[in-house]
Amino acid sequence: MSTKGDIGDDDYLVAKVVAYQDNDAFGELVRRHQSQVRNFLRKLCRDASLADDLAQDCFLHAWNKLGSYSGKGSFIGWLLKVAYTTFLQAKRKSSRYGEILGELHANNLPQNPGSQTSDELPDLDKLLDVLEEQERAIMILGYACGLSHFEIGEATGLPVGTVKSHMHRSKEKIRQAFDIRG
Amino acid sequence: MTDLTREDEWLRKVFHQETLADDGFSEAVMRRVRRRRWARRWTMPISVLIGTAIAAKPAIELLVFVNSLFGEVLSKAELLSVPSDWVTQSASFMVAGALLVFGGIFLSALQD
Repeated sequence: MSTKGDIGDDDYLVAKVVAYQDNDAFGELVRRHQSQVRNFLRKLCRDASLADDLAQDCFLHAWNKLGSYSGKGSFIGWLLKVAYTTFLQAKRKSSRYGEILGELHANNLPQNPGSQTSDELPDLDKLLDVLEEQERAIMILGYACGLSHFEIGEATGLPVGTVKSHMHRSKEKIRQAFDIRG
Repeated sequence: MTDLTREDEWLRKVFHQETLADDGFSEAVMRRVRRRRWARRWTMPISVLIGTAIAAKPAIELLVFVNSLFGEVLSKAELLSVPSDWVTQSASFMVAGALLVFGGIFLSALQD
């Protein structure tokens, strides 16, 4: 694992991109974080090709806005914030996203949730379907991307307290919909 | 282990994500970045050239008009004691300067 100021450190690569417009450094950042960004967007919009298009747009936006990264939080936290913003912008503009979500909603509603033990894992799409969009993003950032409450707040533009209450509500909804037993 | 931790653990398992293979994704992003850089580098000079070509004729016409206007006014009213040629020339320079300044401001606004 790299430490701050290491040659392999994200912040060092970001500094190289900002100072010298270094394509190789940015390429390394993309290679490093593509999986997490694509996974986040795939879970959020639940369509792999649409998510990959958005991920490309996200990295382009990141390249444009890299100067605004202050280095206070983690770079992946900042990148996921850009990804979330890209997703929201695309959703506002595109009708394709609405169609995909409509289809998913029709197919995935838990008709008979029944009981679920800790060992049985439900389909993630079905689980996400019981949540509101913002709750979905928060849960993915927390449980799939492993961000802290503070980082989730940074990524979504919400105060930490609101993030916590969204998480609490989401868990409650999941518990009710899937009747999880320990 | 508390219930809360067990639930968190369960959620982590549900949300678990495999590392996605790159499969040319990074290269596709970098191609778009290079294209955008190229476009950014050349768009402005090309736009300036085209803009100058389009604006040259009206700008010259404006200068000629201002020149003749000042000449006419001064010759009729004889408002100033300085030679009228000097005033009309100065006016032309001022208009040309103003065009350059506003052009510069407009360009820097475009670049931002």
